[in-house]
Amino acid sequence: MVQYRRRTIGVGIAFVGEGGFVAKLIAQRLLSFIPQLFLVSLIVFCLVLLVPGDPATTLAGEDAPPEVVESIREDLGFNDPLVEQYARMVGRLVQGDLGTSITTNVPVSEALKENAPVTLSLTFVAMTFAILIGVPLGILAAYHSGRSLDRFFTLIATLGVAAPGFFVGMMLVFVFAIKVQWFPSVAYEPLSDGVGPWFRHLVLPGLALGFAASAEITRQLRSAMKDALSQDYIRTAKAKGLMPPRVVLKHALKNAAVPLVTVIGLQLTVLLGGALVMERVFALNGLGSLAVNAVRGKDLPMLQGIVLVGVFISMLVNLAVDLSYGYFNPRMRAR
Amino acid sequence: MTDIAADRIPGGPEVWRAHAEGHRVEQEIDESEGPISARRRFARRFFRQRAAVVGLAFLVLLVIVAVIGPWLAPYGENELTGKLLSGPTAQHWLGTDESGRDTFSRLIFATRIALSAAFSAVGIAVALGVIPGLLAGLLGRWVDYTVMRVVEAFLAFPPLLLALAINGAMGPGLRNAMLAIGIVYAPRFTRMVRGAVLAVKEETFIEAARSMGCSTGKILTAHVLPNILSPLVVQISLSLGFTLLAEAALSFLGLGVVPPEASWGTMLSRAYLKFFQQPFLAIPPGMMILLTVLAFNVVGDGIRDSFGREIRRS
Repeated sequence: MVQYRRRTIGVGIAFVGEGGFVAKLIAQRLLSFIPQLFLVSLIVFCLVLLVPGDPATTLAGEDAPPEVVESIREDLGFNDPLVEQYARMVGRLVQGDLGTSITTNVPVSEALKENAPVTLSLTFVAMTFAILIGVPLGILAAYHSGRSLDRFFTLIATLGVAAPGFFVGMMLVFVFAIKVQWFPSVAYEPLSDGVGPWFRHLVLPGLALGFAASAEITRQLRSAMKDALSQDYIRTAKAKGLMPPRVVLKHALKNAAVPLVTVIGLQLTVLLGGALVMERVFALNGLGSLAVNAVRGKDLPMLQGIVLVGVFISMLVNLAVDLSYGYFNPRMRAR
Repeated sequence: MTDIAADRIPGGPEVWRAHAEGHRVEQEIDESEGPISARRRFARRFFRQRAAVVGLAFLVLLVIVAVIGPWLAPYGENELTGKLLSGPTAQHWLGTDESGRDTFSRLIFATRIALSAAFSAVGIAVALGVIPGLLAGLLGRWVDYTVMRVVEAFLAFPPLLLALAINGAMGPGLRNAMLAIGIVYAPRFTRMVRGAVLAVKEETFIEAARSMGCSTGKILTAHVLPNILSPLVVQISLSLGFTLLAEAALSFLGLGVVPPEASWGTMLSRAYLKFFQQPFLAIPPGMMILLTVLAFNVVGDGIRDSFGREIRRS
């Protein structure tokens, strides 16, 4: 007879049989994705309600004749009940239509397709730097816990969390682009022009953006590794005569993987938002400049489109993180 | 009785007696100083942490500067001194900007905005976030389910992107930026309060109160609220730094504080435009943001570490 157990994982409860737990986990997590999408789209829709006064008047300009205002209102459907407006937005979204920009008359999805690679490349490079810096620092700090190396790394991490990324970016430009001229300070080279130039243009913004994230990774990994290193099985492994690097990397790091993956996932969504600001420092034409222009032009469909794409990517990241728990934490699979 | 305990506790009677002795010695010290109130224990723990004390001193200094700033500043907020883009000199300690305004004076005027911005954003977040969290934790069932789904939906957004969108929809300005950041941070308070309420609900004294016939309202005000206050204070102090960073970022993009009013974020934004002519312009506002956020963070960590064990863990 198949025995069922009740296990709580993140959202909701799963009934788990002897096998296929991971499959159930994936299915359940995917199912919770749909109501979340619905709520998220509702929040994005509600941005319309925040526009002060009458959006049609705002769009038409201060001294536009009433007929023009009325035609805009009719065109954009502001006369319909809110429920109808929302239903229409969802209907369009399901078909992959994000609407049309009010200021440029270009489909929002076209503009996003053009600018998103810049933001995503920047986020990707920043995350890579954050992991490359944060993980070794976190491990070393935990291994040398309480000693001067630990205190030094912890100090850097505390400063890193407090430093505004755009200020760090300006300082990096000053040193590495103006003083020594190792890296370009502005512009973006598409990946299709080669990995080298693409990466060279993203080094400084990536470092500036990834700095705070690396600090956060260092802090979290340090405390997770400290916990792991104080466990009995570490003492056993050491007693068996295993070399410290092997004990740290194989035994302890594996057990600190869940908090590490969690913080990386969280930081990825933070970086996605931070990238919008960093783009301005390095004059990159990504979603950030698109968003700032949309705000200046009161281009609400464009703004909503950018937010929807951002939140969708962040939801996918969260989904991947949740699913990875099944891999990193064997206890979730075994039972 | 001693024999039974000696059998159960590993280490034998000697070790056990030593433990008991040690405990008695500790108690005697406590009694000699009189009974310690929770507040005094908190203060004693807090002031033992050097970084937190330095951070607190810095914040107190900032508050004083924010209050008496106009009398302290050598020049007016928008006073044109005639010297453009000068570096640090005897007259202008931190130089002047592209219109000839004194950076040191503007930094002082901006302190008021920075502090009030951080506190009002967190205030909005608390006002919006705490009550749903209380209700979700206390009532459970469908209320909890609904509230938590909404919270999760809000938390799915990249924080700065959502703040930018809300601020953008409402239009630029400091008040709108504060509202936007408050809305973005409110779900974090809801989640934290709900967790704290759920933890308190498990305590025996709640069960006792309920068995004595206490109403839900009475249990809430007399037992639950005082017990979630400490984690709430910790969350508030740790959020201040983040909201200050968010305000600076929004102002940097031209959404928060609108020039000519001085804010550290707008000062950095102006400095960025003149960066190739006078790189020094960026240093004072950038360092002020960094130091203030750092102070908020170390004070927040200090407060967390000074509360009881339960809070230090969460």
